[in-house]
Amino acid sequence: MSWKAVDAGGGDLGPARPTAAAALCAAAVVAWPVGVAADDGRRLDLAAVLGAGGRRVQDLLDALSDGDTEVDVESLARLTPAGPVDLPVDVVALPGGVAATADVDPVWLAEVERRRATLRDSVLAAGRTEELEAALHVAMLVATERLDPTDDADVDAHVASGARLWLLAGAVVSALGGADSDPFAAWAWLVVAGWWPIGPCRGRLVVSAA
Amino acid sequence: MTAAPFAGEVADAAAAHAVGPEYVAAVGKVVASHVRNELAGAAAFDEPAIALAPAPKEKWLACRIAMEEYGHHLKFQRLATDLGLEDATAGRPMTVFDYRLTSWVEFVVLKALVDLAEVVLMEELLATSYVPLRDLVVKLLPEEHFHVAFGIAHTRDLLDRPAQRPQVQQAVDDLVRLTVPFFGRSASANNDAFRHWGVKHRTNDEARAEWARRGRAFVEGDLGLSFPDVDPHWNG
Repeated sequence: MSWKAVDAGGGDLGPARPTAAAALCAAAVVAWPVGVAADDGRRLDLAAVLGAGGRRVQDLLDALSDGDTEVDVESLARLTPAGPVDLPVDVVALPGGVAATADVDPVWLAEVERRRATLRDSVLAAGRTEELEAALHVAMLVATERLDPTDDADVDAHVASGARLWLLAGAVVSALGGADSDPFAAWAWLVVAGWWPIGPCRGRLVVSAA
Repeated sequence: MTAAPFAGEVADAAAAHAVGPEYVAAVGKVVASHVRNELAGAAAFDEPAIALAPAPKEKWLACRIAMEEYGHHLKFQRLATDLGLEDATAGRPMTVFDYRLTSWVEFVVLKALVDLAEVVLMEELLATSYVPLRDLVVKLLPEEHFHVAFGIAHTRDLLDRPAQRPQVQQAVDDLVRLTVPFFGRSASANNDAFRHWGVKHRTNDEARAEWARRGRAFVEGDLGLSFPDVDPHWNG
């Protein structure tokens, strides 16, 4: 049995591999939606290949690709990946967002990192390394293109893009971790809706229009 | 190999195969080296740098750069697949990727100097005979230029603190030494074939000298540090 990554029309996106997840990892081009096809004719979508939590990843990438998701910025922003934060939400333009990065609460950021690492460890401990690699590969392949800075020399746009990719990668790990209250989910929805949630900065919770 | 240098343009993979197996082999070696080195660079340098960044802004810039480098690997991989290369990831990445990154200082100097080497090699491909490779490089070079500009800007920032000058100088010394072999040996049958088929136009020594010239201008002219002597002639 071998599998290939395929696009919506069934076109090959990469070489044959012995598992569906490995076939996704071998896809070298951006296509959304992406799935896999077996040499016996079976087809699976991304969610089915990833298993538990895969539907959350697929829904996020659907929304990122559609680009027309509307969200309640104020309420989602307070549900940070490090836990709820009860601060006034300050929506700023991109330069103000980049300036605010210098004031991000380091304790809060360290907690985000800790949760992300714990979730990753739990996915790996569950023997789902291949699924995690496939999920991150596909998500970053799609998102790196969708969140590509328009101006290749614009440093601010690169900072925002990198931060949003970092949050999305955390959301993918978190989704596969399968927790009922996914700590990255709210901010992931802000990201796919076109926002860059930055974090608690000097008594305000800063969100930038990316 | 025919006696007269090839002077044509090759529109796609089918046309490359029509030119002949020696042409496909020459283009394939250049493409495969980028497949391996973009992946090795992302894994050895860019991903670890995300954790070494001193502040959120730098962390997220490093994240974007890591994803771009990984994307470059995939785009070269796609070219390799189109050409019908068996496994472009087989083979050893260049020795510079053995470098173990331990600090943010090393990372930013690396982006300024090692990515500059990648830029020198890619710029040459703007005139390559294989059109799909030329088209890809046109798309990727702005991102590579951004990576070098990032390294230059952040290395300059480090020197605002004089105490960091020795660490920056050490990184320059180490990375220049490791980057010299990046361009290949002076006596290179591969480079002879690349130039015969119009895949490349410079000798390895000419590319190495161009990198050293631009690297020295930055390190000595801009930073006021010393750039180690580089002999463009290198045979290992």
